[in-house]
Amino acid sequence: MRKVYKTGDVIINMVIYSSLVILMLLILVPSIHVVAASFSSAKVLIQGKVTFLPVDFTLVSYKAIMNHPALLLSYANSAFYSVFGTLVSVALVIMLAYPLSRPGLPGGKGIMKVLFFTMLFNGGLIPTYLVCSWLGMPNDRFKFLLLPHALGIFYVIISRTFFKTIISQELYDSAEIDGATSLRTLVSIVLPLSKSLIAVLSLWHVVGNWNTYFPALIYLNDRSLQPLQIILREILVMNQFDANMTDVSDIIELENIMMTLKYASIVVASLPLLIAYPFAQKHFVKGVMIGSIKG
Amino acid sequence: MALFVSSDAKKRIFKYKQLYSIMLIPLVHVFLFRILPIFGIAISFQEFRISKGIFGSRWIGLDNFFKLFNSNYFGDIFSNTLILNLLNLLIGFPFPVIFALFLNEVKKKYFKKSVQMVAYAPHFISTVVIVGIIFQLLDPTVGFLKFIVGKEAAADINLIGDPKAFRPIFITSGIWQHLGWSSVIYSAALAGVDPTLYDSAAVDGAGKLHKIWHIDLPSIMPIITISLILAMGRVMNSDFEKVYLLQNNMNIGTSEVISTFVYKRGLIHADFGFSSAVGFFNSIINFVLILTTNYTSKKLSGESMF
Repeated sequence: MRKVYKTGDVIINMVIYSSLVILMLLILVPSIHVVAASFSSAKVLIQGKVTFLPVDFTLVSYKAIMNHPALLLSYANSAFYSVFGTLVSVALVIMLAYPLSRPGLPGGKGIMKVLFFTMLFNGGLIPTYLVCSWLGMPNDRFKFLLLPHALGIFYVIISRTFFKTIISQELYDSAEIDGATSLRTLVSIVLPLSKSLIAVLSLWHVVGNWNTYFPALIYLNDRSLQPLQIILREILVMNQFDANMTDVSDIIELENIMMTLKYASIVVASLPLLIAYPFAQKHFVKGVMIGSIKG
Repeated sequence: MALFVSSDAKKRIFKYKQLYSIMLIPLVHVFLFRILPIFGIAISFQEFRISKGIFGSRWIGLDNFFKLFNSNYFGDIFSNTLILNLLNLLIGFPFPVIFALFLNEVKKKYFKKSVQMVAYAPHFISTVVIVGIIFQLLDPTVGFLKFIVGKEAAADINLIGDPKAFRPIFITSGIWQHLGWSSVIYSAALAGVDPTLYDSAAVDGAGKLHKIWHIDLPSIMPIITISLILAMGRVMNSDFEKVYLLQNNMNIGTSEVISTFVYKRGLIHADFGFSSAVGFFNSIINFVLILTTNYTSKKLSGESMF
């Protein structure tokens, strides 16, 4: 078909393309500035000379990170919580979603109703905290992995829908005829067919666990257990720093290091996700599709 | 007991025994961390002492609620919560829709891919880092303002400590961070639009704007409705993480919302009974809101979540 361009369409195209370009700039410009600032000296930053390229190039802020034991430890803690928290969460979600996806499970509908209710209404922060402390959950590296945020009901609902749509009743029937138990069916039939779901669940949880700070704020007071986001909050928002962080005695120099350390810690904290992001992006988009299948 | 359970039902239950045992651990988790706290709401009606526990503390009826309603800060934290989230919804909601509609018109594949790549990225950055970036960019000495208003003028502008600036900062940064990602569901729906609709519209001489208005928008309307229901149900539910990070003694007049109040009163000052009552009050409003919006939407448009 021959395309006829109308003047109205040309104008609309211009509006669309230019606003999308402006949007990209609005996201890229601050990001590039932060990276540039992290490689610049505090002196030129205060003078306002840094825009999009490092000025007076220096690695002093990154050296300060290497001299910041609390930050390094929290980085390792976050890696731990991200990896093991994700394992625990994905296991919990699947262990609940799979039985609930089997048609005819006595009580299944009732359990779904209860789960749905807990999504709309919950005990709130204080009662939840009191139950957790009554159970002795706070201040423990391993118990932290099992706290309320470990099992997201939303993920259970979408996983259940996924199992229901992807695996047919015939498959279950034939597995049963072959004498496979429910556990065996889960491990040998359902999980291999659900790789995309597992990938998406894992990605969501890795990002969530890496980025969240509220559960840690409430349940981890012990400094050696705290994740990266807590320490970042101290550096970026509360302007705190470890007194023994560096052996600099000059107060102005210390302030300067604190200033550039902020930029560098933003870069370092976001780095793992931003490196993985280009590869994982299409899986995340796929995940939204899985989530939007109506059950 | 066995008399009341038919042998058929027994067989079925036996067959499903293994399924039950698979979900035992997650069900215990749900019971401990989601059901038990709901019963824990009882402390809202107590003068709760942690040493006496829920069974030993004194019951005081609705006193905690009266204390809240009669307090001089109740009006402030209630309206702060409502205004912040309503403004955030009204201003923020259309952006992802418009973005998806615009992106759908882009036919150049690489441009489209680049826009998506860039626009989705901020969603994956943590709230702490986002707030850190906001603080750096708005900083009187090292921030961006000096490029706009000049160095001397910028040194006098402290937006982070300005109660009037809190809401604009919160809302704008939210749009900046989530606009791209929130549009994914709309983009997905737009990708499913029957292409023959466009062809017949073109035959009828419809321009781009007509196609967007008469084909694209109606086809994503159901998803817009569902998203709006979900968002309305959250209108008394602030993003605690971000509000708390952006909050300071200077902007507290606009930044103190119910969730930050509950956190500080409950966990920092250990006033458990009272803060639990405040949280419970908020939960009820949320619950009623989501039921109402769901019901209204079901009546008006036939779209609903449950």
